[in-house]
Amino acid sequence: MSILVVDDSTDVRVLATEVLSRKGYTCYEASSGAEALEVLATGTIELALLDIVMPNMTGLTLFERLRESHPDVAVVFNTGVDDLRLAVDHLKKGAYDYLVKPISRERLERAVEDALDRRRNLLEGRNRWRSSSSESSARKTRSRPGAPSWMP
Amino acid sequence: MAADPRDRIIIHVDPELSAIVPGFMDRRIDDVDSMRAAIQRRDFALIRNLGHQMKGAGSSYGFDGITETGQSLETAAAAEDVPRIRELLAGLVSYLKRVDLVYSDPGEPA
Repeated sequence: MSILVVDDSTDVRVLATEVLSRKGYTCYEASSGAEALEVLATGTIELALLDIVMPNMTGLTLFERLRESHPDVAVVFNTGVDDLRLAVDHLKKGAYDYLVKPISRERLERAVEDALDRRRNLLEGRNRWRSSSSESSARKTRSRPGAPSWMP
Repeated sequence: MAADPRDRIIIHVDPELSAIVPGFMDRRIDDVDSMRAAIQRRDFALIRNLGHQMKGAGSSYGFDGITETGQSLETAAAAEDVPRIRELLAGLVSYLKRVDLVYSDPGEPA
């Protein structure tokens, strides 16, 4: 599993990479939103850990861009902005978690593991629904050749 | 003259972070230099940003004192309070000189 750590703080990037690599994740680092978009364009990232306060492009703008271009990437905010309203708004918009710095190693590990579990369940559920709905439409076509698609 | 051992500050550091803690300490020394230079330029945005970053990372590495100092620096920079910034930087330098790292869980016997 690949994780992108986006933070303008070297300390946070180094810590998150060290902790998550020890858990077996492959980690990439970006110190800005622009760098993050370059890494994301490779299509290998499953989860992005996003800071909010960064120069040029905030983590909130990056989150909006991610929702459009990479909707299957799970986003966990890891920020010094302790704002309950902001957290709730972004959790409603699809962020998987909102961590307020400083966080412990254990909290980071748990948040990433939980987010990746939820993402996996979501993708598996979607794939099951897609395959069952395509099987069902194939059955309808076979059973009533020439019948309108809305007919049982 | 040797430092008084009673002045030492024992910091218990997670052994899993042992490889990255020395780099964290070195970056704080760089921060002090950067902030002292920023005072001369009256670049309070930089001081505020470095304080914010220290606040966000300190306790995660085991250094609650650095998180507290970072928060105070962020506040002092927002107020453009140069004497307070200087005082906090002097405190940070003193703290860094007195820190003794112990790589163990604080709950474990030494």
